[in-house]
Amino acid sequence: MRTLDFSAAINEALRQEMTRDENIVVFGEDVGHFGGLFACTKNLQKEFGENRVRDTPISEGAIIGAAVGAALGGLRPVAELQFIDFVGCNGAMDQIFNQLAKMHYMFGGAVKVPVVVRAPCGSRYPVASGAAQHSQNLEAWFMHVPGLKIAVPSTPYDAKGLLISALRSDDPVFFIEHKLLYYAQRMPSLREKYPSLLDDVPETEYSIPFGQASIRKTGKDVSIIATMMMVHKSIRAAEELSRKGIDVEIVDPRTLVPLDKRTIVDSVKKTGRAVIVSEDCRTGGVAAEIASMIVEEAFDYLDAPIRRVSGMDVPIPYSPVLEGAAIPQEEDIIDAVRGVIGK
Amino acid sequence: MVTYVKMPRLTWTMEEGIVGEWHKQVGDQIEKGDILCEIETEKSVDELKAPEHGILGKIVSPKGSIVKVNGVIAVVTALGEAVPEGIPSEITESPVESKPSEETVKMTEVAVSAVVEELKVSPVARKLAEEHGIDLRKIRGTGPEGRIIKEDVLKALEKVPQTRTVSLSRMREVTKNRLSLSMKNALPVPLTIEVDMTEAIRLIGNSRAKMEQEHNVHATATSVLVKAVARALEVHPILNARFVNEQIEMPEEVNVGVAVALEEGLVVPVIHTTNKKALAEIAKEILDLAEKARTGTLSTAENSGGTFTVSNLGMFGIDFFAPIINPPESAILGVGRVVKKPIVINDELALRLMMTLTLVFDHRTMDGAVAAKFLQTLKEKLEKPADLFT
Repeated sequence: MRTLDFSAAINEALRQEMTRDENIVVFGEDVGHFGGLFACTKNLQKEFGENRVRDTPISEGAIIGAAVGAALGGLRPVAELQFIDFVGCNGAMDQIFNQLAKMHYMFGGAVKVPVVVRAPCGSRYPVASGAAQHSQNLEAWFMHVPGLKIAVPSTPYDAKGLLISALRSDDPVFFIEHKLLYYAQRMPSLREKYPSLLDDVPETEYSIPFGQASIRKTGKDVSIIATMMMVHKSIRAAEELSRKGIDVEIVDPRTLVPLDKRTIVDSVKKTGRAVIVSEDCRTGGVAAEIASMIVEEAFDYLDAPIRRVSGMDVPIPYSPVLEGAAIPQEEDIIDAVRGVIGK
Repeated sequence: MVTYVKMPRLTWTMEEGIVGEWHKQVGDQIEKGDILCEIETEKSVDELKAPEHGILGKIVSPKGSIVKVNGVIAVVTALGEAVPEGIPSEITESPVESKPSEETVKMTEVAVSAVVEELKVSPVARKLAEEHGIDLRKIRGTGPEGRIIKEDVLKALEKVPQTRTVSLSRMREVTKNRLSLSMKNALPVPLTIEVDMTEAIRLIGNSRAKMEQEHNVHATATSVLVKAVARALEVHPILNARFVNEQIEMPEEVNVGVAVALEEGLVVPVIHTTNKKALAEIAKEILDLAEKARTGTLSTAENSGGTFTVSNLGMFGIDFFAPIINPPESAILGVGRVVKKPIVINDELALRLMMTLTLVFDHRTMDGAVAAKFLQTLKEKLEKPADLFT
């Protein structure tokens, strides 16, 4: 077993599946010759050729639209958006929510559209700054579109397993990658702070089913439900909280659609308290959906109101320090947990 | 419902504030959280938000008024409700801010539940309290914002005397079912008779040495009784009958069951063909069966086939009692204690060892007369017991 970082795990999943299935093709900006802005598609064009790994024009509408068309024609495309923030460009959004998500249903099941859309999201604070149009978390928009599956892996092990599942699935999948996770291998300071960013990844192919959460840490006082980079911040917060005698449980849904409601609800039934940590902004965010679900399914077990730790309802500021202040940090998670416990 | 809007304590050291601009007028409809007016203190200007929805009924403190903390500055009423005549000058801090109007005072239950609803209680705590009938108003909440949480209810529960519930063991279940059946169908009638056991007990003592030597056992009152019962059943076989499927069965064998009380419940091991066994054999078997009953090693045969049951509570000091017939048998004998009593023999007082027997018979199988005759026969045999000791 070896340690891989996030982008290397994604790269390996793509390589192994593309070897196994010649119908898998990759489109995107800078994915081919350059190997991807974040190295996820490194060397794939060298290995599989220009036909299968294509650099596209700067047109998100074309990228997704071509992927949808190719899928209808029998291929299994992986379409990359360089930043999820660009999903609104050139009609890509329509291609995703009106075409990709709905065609299978509108055509009475006569077609399948096995496209995997990959896109990085989130803030790279403190490693780099992205500001308003390069740091957003938009997964909530897509959670709201019936017909799309959504993966939000937090570790290299999960990334490889979930991507392999996505590539083998005939359903449209939005595979969302928090970009700070890419940096672990390259930045010692980051992996020192968050050792959970690195993972042992098996060399063989394996798939992780969608709709199966992972319990990162068991505990009895509070259930923290966290996604992507927030999982790692929660792990750090948990260490600090245990020094104060508070034992938290951390549930990582790993996929938003389908959502593993049972694991989340079982955890809350056990602890009686839920704190949901999601980097996206508060209003109408992922945490809001999970909180509603918990109230519906586990109301009688709640011993405290549900707390959300979310990004602020602001465009991410230009100043790097303010970018950091606009997203949840460990202190915010600690405050929220202490708030629901009351000590 | 009337809500008094009071001057809030905006900082720990605040004693009074100045009412600033009013954003609402008398008669305005307001939602909870709407800005009513501004409050000025030495340090800042704040907005006072409506604590309840309703109609702004009265502005007690217009712009510029200096009001002490907790002083009433306005009154909010429900739609159509009149502003009360006497308005308090201040409201002391308490979780319930609104005074019920006369109408709600009449509906006391509604008022009480309103108070309870204004208490902060977590869902799981509320459910727990409801399940156990705990009054939430009596609990102090230790959660954030004074919320009553699960822990608080659990603590309150500890103080409440709990009724322990034990579900029926298999043995209890079986006993319950059998005896329920008996009571449901049988027509039990108790008959009581006193027996002079003086002679029997004398003979038990006399025979002891010989019995121990020959049979390694000594006779007991129970074994003597059982043998006497077996003999009496031979004379009055209807007492030995079984009532099965609306018919009276007359078994050839006399199988007397002897009730044994165990900690877990009642067992009735059976001495088969009691009438054909010698006293020593019966005595031994009774000991043997009792031991097996205690160790739970009775075989099915040893536990069934009874035609008559003897149940003795004399060792617990019981004078007499009427047991429940063991179905499908037709009668049962309840044995009380042997006690020295003064009785009249030939017009003279004598002290004798007396024992009270209670026969409960099933009127479906027999009538009182034959049951009484059985008791007479039994009494005779016990009072002239020499035959039993052969």
